[in-house]
Amino acid sequence: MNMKKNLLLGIMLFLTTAFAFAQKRVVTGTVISGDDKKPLAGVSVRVKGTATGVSTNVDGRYSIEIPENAAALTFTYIGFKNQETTIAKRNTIDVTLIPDVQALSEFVVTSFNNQSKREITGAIASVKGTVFQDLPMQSFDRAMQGRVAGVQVTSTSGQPGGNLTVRVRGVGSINAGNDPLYIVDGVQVASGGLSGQASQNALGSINPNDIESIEVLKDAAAAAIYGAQAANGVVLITTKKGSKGKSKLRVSVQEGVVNAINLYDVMDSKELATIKQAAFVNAGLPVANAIATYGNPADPNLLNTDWVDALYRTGRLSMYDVSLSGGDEKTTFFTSFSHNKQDGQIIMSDYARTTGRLNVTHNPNKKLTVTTNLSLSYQNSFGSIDRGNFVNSPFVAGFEARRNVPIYNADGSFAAYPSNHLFGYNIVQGVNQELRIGKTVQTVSNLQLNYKFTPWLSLNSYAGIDFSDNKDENSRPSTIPAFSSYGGAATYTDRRNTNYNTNHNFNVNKTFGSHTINGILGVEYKGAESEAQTATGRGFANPTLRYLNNAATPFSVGGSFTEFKRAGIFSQAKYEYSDKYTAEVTFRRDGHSRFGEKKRWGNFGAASLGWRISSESFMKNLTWLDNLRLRASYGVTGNSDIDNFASRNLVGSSGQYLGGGGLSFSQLGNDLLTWEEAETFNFGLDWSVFNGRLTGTVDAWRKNSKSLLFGTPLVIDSGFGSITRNTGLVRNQGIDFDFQSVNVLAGKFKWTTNFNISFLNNELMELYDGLQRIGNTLIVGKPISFFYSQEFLGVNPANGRNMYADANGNYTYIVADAGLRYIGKTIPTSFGGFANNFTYGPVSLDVFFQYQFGNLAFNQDLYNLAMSGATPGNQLRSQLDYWKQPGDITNTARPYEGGQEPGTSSLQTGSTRLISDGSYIRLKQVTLNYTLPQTLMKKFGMTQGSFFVQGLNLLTFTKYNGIDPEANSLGSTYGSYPNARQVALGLNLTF
Amino acid sequence: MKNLFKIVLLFGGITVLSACSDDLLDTQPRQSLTPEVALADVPGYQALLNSAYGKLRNFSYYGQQMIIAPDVMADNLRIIANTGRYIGQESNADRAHIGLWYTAFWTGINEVNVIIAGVDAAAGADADKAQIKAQALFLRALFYHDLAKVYGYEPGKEVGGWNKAVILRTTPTLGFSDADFRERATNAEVYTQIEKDLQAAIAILPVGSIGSSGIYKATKGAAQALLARVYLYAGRNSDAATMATNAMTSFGLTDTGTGLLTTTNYITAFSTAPNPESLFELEQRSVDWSSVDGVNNSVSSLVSNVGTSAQFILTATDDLISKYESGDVRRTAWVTTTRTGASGNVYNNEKWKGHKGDFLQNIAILRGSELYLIRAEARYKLANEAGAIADLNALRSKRGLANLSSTLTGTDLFNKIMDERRVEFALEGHRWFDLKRNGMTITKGAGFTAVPYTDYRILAPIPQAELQLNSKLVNNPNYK
Repeated sequence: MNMKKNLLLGIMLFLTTAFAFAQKRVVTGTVISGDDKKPLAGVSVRVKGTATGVSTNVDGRYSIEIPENAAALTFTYIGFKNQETTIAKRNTIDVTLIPDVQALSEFVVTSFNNQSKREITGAIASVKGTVFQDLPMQSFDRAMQGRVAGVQVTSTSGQPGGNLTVRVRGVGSINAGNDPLYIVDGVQVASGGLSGQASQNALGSINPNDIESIEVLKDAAAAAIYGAQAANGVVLITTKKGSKGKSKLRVSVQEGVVNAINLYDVMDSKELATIKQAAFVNAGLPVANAIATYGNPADPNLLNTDWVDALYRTGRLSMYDVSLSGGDEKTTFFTSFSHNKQDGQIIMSDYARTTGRLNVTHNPNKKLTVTTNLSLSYQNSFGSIDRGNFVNSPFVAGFEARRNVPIYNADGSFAAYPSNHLFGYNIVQGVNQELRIGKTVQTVSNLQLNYKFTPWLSLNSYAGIDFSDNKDENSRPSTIPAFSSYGGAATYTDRRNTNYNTNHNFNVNKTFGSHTINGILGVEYKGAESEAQTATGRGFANPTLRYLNNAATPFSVGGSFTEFKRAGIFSQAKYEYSDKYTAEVTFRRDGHSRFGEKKRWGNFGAASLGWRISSESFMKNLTWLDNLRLRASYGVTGNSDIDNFASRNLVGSSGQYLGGGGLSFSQLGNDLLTWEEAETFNFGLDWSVFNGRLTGTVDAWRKNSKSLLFGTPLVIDSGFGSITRNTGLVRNQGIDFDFQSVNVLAGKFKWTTNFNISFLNNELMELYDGLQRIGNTLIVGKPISFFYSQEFLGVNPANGRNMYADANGNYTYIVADAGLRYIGKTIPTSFGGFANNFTYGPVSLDVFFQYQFGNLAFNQDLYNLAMSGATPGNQLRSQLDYWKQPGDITNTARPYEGGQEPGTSSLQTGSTRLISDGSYIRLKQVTLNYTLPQTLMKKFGMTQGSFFVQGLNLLTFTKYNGIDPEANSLGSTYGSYPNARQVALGLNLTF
Repeated sequence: MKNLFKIVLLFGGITVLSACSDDLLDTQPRQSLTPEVALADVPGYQALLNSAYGKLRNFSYYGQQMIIAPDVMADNLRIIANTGRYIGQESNADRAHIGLWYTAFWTGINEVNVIIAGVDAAAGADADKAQIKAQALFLRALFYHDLAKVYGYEPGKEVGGWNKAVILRTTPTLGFSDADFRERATNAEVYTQIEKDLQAAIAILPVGSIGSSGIYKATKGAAQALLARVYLYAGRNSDAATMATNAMTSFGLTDTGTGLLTTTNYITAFSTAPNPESLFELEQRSVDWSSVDGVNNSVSSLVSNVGTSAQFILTATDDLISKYESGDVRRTAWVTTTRTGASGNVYNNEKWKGHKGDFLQNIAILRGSELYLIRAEARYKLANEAGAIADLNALRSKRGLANLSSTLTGTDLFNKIMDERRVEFALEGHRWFDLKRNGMTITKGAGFTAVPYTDYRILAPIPQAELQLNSKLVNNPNYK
């Protein structure tokens, strides 16, 4: 306290002295933007060479007292070039600030400290929160899609709030996880799904509007400090902080609609009855049987139920978002509240989320900073059976259901579906009456203390937690015939995930003349625990009863527990000379409970160099060149993303017999199991020319993933399918291009472009023991994910049979294993995004495309829907083109009931007939924004305000033979939940 | 503030120190055990045995495939609703066969191998250990006989001299090095091992009572019955007849058929747990199934119209129905009904009614009547036609049929034995194997072509992934 008083006294003395010697006067003026000629609020105005300064107000006005001898004023504002104006005798100085499109001095959040983008030597890509602010997306990973070179984001489910697949620089691991490490304000959060009833994204607990920026650490130099788990890249999310000054209230409201981007064109009942008659006749079955099931095509009154229409809808989407931020000298805060509700394109399917956040930074004194970020979210999803050939999936049964069957009885009750198809399950009844609810409460919160011993040495102490509690409910009421025999069933599942990490590190940062040294030394500890309990009850006296206490029979129970722990020591040293040369070394040692007792610890590290060529004297003459910098890095990071107990011999529960519990060897252990390693090389070039009009980054990289945590197959006659070993080598290599330009800057009109594309090559280099292939799934010299199938040669015009290539390339009707061949890869060759912004005065238009090329996609829906009428369900209308008589040229075989014509392979044989090019270009986002007039905003005390209309997934250009090439680009594709089109109107206001 | 600073330093210091210790990384897979803990004593081995019994209920084994496929691949069943299931088996399409070469099946074999190799050293009473081991031997014999009859020819019935059966593992896989690549053993080697295991089991297992809950586990009589079956398959007819007699003695079945089901309880027996004629029966409980397994996967759902949601995709062929003589109680297992979209005669099966609820019931794997049929066939092949007829008559007398004419002889008698088997075990998974082991053509109904015994489709294909992984493994002939 004494010190404080002295300080205050000192300041007062100084001011008094100043009053005594200086004459002063007042200068006023307005600062406007050279861009749109609008006033700029918050511009820092200073008297050159002094600490005296003020900020402009909402109207861009300022008033500053200056000493009589002051020569000039400096105006600084983020995103604009600094400007210096001589004062002379003027009392009014109006200034127009020129936008600084270069924005090179932008800060990037790196690992345990922040770095200027200018000095980074690793490959880091950054997305600012403003880019995805107010987009109707429930999770930030979605916002990264197409915005970051080298990062492939795939939305594999259209369930609102659903999971995504994110791959940073290819797929390196065969069996271990390929997900990047997500770190939200320092908390290492678990990604993946939270619920078993709906795809519910664990990253959805963070409101994207709370995010200041996302950084993706792509190479070892950037990520090695996270050693463990960093092999798949690191995604750092930083939420917004308050800043001192007037409190800002931001309100954003949005309402819109959701609907299907595409549907299958299926036959009407008459068309299906026709093809089925042909199938029955060809198979030697009585036509009467076809008529009994499918109706008579000659019947003018044949019922033509629209199952698809009954299942799909135009849903509603609503987003409400409020945030307040501000602070004073000692404390700054950011707090927000949001509510988001979005319907799916399928009836019943929906998602609601409510989030709250409080970020506070407090400086009790000059040396100590306390920061806490608290968040709480509630997600409530109503799911839909997504992926899989299930009769209760609307994405399967909706298209397959026979249209000569009614949905409803005359009295309005649900009609029974014929038992010889879809297990007699009326899909519209099922979707309406089965409950699939997943509710999750989650917090991602932390507390951080920073103590500055001296201006160059500080200690950071950090603890964070990611906790989620999920409750799932699945109710199958007895009103649905399939569940009536046991009086309906209800299953409840509770899952609790606790995931914490803490780190403590010393930071050094000192400059001696032209030399700057940075250093970090720290420790980290992380633990995670997951528990689940599940219980099923059966026999409900009334179908509206759904809780377990209403169940007559406590049917079954289940549970699970798992945990892991990880500890590490890390250090980093960086040296910079005169903004020209940078060198950085990182070392980390990590131990993980997942590995064999003697093999738990692994060493990781990286080294990198940066050379700013443009600062060399021989480049000085190139005035058009703003910046040219070469970066090089090499490093090794680790991957430990396998089952928590994968190294151990395990004996687990195995059902019961005669009431006695069973035990079985569930896993063959390997006590030599240790870290998977990714060795990364990166060469990068950052450049900027013509005063920032064109800027870009090119990174060429190679990542060798080795000692893979590989579930190597065992001969199954051993009783085990596989054992996890450290073996194999996968190489990913590519080039990431990132390019930004200001194409036109003319008066009120501005056109900017952001473009990125990555070229990727993935190859399996080695397996183990000299093995060249594992079955038809892994082959040395090929990518690690591909299609290996029969080659379809078309339909023989002579007899209408499907022809396939045999081992010698000749046609055959009966496929053999020998005819299976490599068809192509599922991993794209290139992917990226293309964003354009057009601004004219208050109106701006964003047009954003996202794309991927070079991958094949397998559409399993065609097994049901494109089988020449051989299957019992409805068919695509394209199947009407079936072979009818010798000479017909078609790709749709002769119909044959059951599809198993003697002397042929089944019509359902997997072949290239079901595989098509999965490349696509998608118009991902269009936003038209209108900034409210100054006069109007002023009237309501606003500093910012705009009105917008935006659409997502508006157009798709593809040759893919299914509904959504994006959702179907990965995994099993039966009945996947396609992405939806969203169109919304919104308003955002800042006071 | 100074206190706060100290706390921070202390916290950091503790973490630094403790990070260097491995204790920080200790975790426990609380829901699993290590083999050392699990198999320290008799209860651990009993639990392993329970798991091995449970393997029988897999839907790819007796839970469904081993019951349905042998009848639909032969001439007993036809498809009346196209759900895609068994379509290939009905027309004996290339590779549409029975597949037992899957991981869980071999896990069962490994479980019994672990028991047989290790139970003697476990803590516990010797008598308990001996019983557990004997049951494991019985299961190993059953597992291997089922593999041998699906993937190989019976000894002496080879086509083109092809005598490979399956990989024979009699020692446990406890570590990586145990999972070595092996060749398929010959059918003779596999049969020798089966005989050895059953003989050892017979010596130890207790005598069980037919149709009692005791036969939910392996008994002496069940092992004898299985061995009689194995001998018959191997063409060792004299041993088969003797062993069938031994089994009948164990279960108190007389030469005249006393102890078998009668016309009054034949049909209800299949909806009784245990079946009063069971020699070895798999007990099933609702917890063994997920909530949709009943409708999705049960035999009952596939062959009957019990409940509104049954799939009911299969029914008896007219050929099978024609084999029932007038007055045969077994004919009542097929009740005339209708099926939308199915023409011809449609029958609902009364053996598989899912009497335990939600399509659930036990599965009889060995029944008493088989002993009479084994002995009849063995005696016929030993040229004891009178003995054969006596055994057939003993069974027929309990099924509501008159004695056969004593003049029945030669091929006619043999065909009668085959027909008697066919109607007795309709929808119990015998037909394909009965034709195959006798080297007979697989006859088919209208619209399908017969499969001669010399056709490659008599043997099942080995999974291609295994062939690619294990260079010592060869596929059956003519699978391309």
